[in-house]
Amino acid sequence: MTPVSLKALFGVSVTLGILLGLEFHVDRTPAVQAYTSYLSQSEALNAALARTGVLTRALAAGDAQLHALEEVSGHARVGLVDLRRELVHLEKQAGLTPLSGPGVRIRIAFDPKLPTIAGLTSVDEATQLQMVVGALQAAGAQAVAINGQRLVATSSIRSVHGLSASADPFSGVVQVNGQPVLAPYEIAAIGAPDRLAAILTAEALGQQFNILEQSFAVSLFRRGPITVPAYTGPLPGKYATEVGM
Amino acid sequence: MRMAIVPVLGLLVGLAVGMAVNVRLPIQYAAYLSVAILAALDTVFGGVNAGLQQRFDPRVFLTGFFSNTLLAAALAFIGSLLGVDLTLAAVVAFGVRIFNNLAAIRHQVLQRKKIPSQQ
Repeated sequence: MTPVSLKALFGVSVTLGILLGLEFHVDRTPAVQAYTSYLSQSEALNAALARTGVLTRALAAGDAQLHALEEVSGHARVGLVDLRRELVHLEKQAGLTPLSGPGVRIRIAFDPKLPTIAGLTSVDEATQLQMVVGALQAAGAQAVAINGQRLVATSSIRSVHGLSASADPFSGVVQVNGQPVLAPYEIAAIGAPDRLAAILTAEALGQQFNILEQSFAVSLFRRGPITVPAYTGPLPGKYATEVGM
Repeated sequence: MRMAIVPVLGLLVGLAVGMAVNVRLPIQYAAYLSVAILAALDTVFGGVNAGLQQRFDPRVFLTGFFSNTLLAAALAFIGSLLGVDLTLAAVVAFGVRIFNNLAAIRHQVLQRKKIPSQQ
């Protein structure tokens, strides 16, 4: 065979091979099967569309619930802030926080220069201190402390006689909030300084103390360097509980 | 020997190319493709027969191959347009020709094998 004939034979063979190869690419899926597949996919699509509505409603309900929870959480947050503010206020009112402001500082000390009262062997210092504190509170004192012991609603000022070895009339021991405080006594009171000083003068407490051989010095602080410490004693509630709690 | 190797090689190359092509033929075109393949096979067998008879003409072979293939496909297409299954006619015609060519080839091959043994 001539080369031309061989080339022609090769070309025809290649073309025939290509035609046979293309036979493998014919999509022989039956029409019925294709239609069935179309129907099943259409049904699946319809089911998905129906489910979409349900899911959309569920999503909307979830959103609404989320909003409600966020709203409740916001209320709770606001309530918590209010409660904390109230707690701070109550702690301030109960004397559990240190306070600072204008006021007076009173120093009561034994003074040997004062004339001696014959036969005076003891002085009920607790009663005297209570008188001073009562006068200060009557004059609007908002915070009072004796020798660093803050006076609160449950505070007590009482004398315990016979515990001191001192020979002067200040022979007793005063307990404030159950803690012993020793002379000289220093009373710090926050309030209007002039009113506090005025009530002390009006009650003539200074003179009474002087008669009892005790100097009575009052310092006024109009701009507020007076600092009254917080109450650190025991709080009610260890034994006494609120009824119904 | 080359006459047997060249067509086989070409067929393998064509098959590889045809299978590698990334096309998807719809089932509607399968009939045209089948008739075209049948026509091509008829031409190939006719060419082999002519080659064995020492009267192979490449021009006749090539023109016969492409014209037969295209005409067969066109006939099937026209038949589908007319609503007449002309594919069947093409199958019968090409089938008869293929068998005739095969018979002739067989006779040629057998005669050639007999001659050396008779000598």
